[in-house]
Amino acid sequence: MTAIDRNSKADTRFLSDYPNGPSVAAAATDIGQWRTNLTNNTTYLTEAASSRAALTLRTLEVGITASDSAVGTVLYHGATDNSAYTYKIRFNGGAIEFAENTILLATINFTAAAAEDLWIRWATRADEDSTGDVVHEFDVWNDTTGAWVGSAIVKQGEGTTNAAHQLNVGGYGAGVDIFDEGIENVNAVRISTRYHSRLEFVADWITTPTPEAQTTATRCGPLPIAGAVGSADEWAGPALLGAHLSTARSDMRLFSPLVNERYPAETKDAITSAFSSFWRQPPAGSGYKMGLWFLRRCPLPVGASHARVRVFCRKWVTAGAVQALTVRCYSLARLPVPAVVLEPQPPSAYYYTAGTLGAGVDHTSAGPGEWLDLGLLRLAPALAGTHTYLVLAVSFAAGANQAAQRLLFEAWTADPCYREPTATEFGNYGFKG
Amino acid sequence: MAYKSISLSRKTPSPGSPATLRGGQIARASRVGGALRNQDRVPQHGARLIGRVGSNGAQSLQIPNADDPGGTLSQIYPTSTDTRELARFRWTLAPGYQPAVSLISLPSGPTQKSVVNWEEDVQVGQVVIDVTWTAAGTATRTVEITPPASPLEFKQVPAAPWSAISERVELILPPDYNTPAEVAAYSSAADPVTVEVVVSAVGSPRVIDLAVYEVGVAFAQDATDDPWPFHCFTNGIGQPLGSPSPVWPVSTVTSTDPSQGHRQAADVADEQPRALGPVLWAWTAMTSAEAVSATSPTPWQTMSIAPAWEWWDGADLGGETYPGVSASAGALARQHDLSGDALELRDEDGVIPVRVHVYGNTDLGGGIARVRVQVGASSWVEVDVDSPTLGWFTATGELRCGVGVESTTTLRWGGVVVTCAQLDVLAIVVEHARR
Repeated sequence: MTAIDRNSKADTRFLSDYPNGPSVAAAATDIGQWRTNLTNNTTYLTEAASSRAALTLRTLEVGITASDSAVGTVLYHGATDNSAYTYKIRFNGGAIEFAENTILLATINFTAAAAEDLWIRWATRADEDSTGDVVHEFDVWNDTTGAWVGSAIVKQGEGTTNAAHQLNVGGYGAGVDIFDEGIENVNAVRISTRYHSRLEFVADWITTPTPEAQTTATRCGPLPIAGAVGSADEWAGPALLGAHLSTARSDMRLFSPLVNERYPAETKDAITSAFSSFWRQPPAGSGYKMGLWFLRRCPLPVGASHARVRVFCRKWVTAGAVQALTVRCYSLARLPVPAVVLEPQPPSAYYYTAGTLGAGVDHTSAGPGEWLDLGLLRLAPALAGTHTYLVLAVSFAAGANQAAQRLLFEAWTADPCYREPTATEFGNYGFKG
Repeated sequence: MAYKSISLSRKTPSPGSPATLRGGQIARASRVGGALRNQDRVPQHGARLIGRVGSNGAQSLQIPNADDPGGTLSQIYPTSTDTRELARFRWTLAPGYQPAVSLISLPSGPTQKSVVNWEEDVQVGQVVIDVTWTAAGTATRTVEITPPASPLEFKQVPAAPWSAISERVELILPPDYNTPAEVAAYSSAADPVTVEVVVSAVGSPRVIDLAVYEVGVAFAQDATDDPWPFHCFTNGIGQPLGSPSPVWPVSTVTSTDPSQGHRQAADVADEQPRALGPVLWAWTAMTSAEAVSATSPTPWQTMSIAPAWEWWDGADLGGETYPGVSASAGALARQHDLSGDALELRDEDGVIPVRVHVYGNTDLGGGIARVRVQVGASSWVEVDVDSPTLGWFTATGELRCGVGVESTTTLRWGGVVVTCAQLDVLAIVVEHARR
């Protein structure tokens, strides 16, 4: 059985990739799902009447080893005489030119005295702000230096194409404007029908990301079910099952951060163990003080059971030994103050989660500090379930040098989520993931 | 034109079961109604926080807490009449939602008559919320919140501040929001409603936390087959259909039957992931260090043409070990064709389409400046600011969000001048973009 290449996707129309060394034959070999090789003309590749590459909305990606003196067409879909084309990517001595329908849309310049490995992305998507227009995104990454070379965004009316046009790699027509540093240096080409984000481009060709482990429910959008599935004489079941799946996978789409703050330099007042009256002891928090400055009323989405809380801390000491400190984030069902209301009050439920910065941690007053992950905070909803109160509390470890310890919160984030209750938790979180 | 509408009361949605849709069973409307109603409930799960203004990390208030300022020859408190802008937000309303604000404050402080020396004036302490809805037309409403004033001399903060805080919540509806037709004008999918909220202060309110967020209220649609994130599988007044007339729910959408049919179910399934998503982050230049005489926040400014994008730390914008905010909530709103878990990004990472709004201008003359919002090394959106007149500038793109809320994303931003002398930025909002 033929193994499908990792980078061959549902929308892949042509894919060549040979990371183990340059070869013209490999450049012509389609390892995508279409399995239709290009014609190998030794110094350039062709596919006559390439309807599969005739795309006005597409993503083109090219991996190439080139210097800034390289000249020639790299990827081309158009007439054999260059009089009309859907798209063209061309090197022009340190400039990478992107053209559509004989219009030069963008040029990205690069410098490389000796040949370096470049990755080129040209992705198009419909313009959200102007019906009928297309957003063209261009990026070039230098894999030798590990840096972005340049980017450009151009808006343009949707182009035209011709299914009878020829696809070329390394030139156009019958070997005109051949890429002069050798077709074998065109390391990879992928032609896709769908818009690929820059992140997908990077994940496919440059760096494979490593996801963090998730203990809460995660969601990815369901496959769309276009309206074309149904007509009066067709069976409705699959579409309705799909709709049901969509419901389950869309349940948290409107979960926005409860707190998402980054504090400006002008307001950076260090926290010390000499707490002012704006700090008071939180529930079950002997030794802790929670700051009125860090009290936030948070609207709760239906079904949110927890929030993932992170605080960016800078911890230092003015003199003497560095000591540990602990930060807690509380979720309070109601404010810890006497309420003057006539309606029934919810129980003053609360939960908290904590993180400690040990005695060995000293960011110095110049920082920048570090993210302190407080983990998952179970949320204590107020009476109607509409909101909760989040507040930060601090405890400086007891010790002779406690008064010299300093802490600065530089950022605070709390993202709501849903998690199955554990054996020690109870209650109805609403719906299940 | 007939309208269907549903009320977005905060019901706990039932999980539902696809069992009624299994093969071998008659596809009666009464059987599939449960599935359709569950789809209708999806968009009411939100309560999107848009943004906040208040203490903003400081351990001090903009309105001082002072003893007798007698003899002071400069302005230390606001006047009783000047309106001072604190924050400004702009975003696209989620379908069926309307803006709300909550305010946690300490007792308001004093005002002063003259701006050159201290003389106490009449006590005024108001937070003013100006809301502008823009859809097919424009509507505005102003809400004033007056928290309690301090009863103490010189309007000081009481000695036990925690016991003195007050809380106010206001839902702000458009002035014409009564009939289904009017509600439909504020819940159009084809012509989304943009809202701008300007938060101002008059006098000396002591704001600890003012949050602008969304509350689900009501959704209505006219009887056309435009794509919607809802079916409105109802009887027109928000209740489920009692006795559906068609035995076979295979009717397509027509002007007389907008509420049923598997085509509508499919359209809604297709539309929900496009239309619904979080507001990731909003920022205002306001800090508690702002002078009480300033009628608007001091903008974040840069005159740098260096290709380095800086936030306050001067570190590489893509660095996720520096302080920023989170974009991870976006992971709950990924789209299959951009961030699919099987092929596109393979659940190794996530990305969502976003719209970035920047409120600013090119100061000191015309030209172009650029604001960049970035998450990680390879996802960013750049917004061109190309007018010397203060206003909103927007651009769309994608930002990395990870695969769940436990992803370690860090969103940061910076600005650079391109062909102008100076860039001023007063507010930024990053929201999910319909695509």
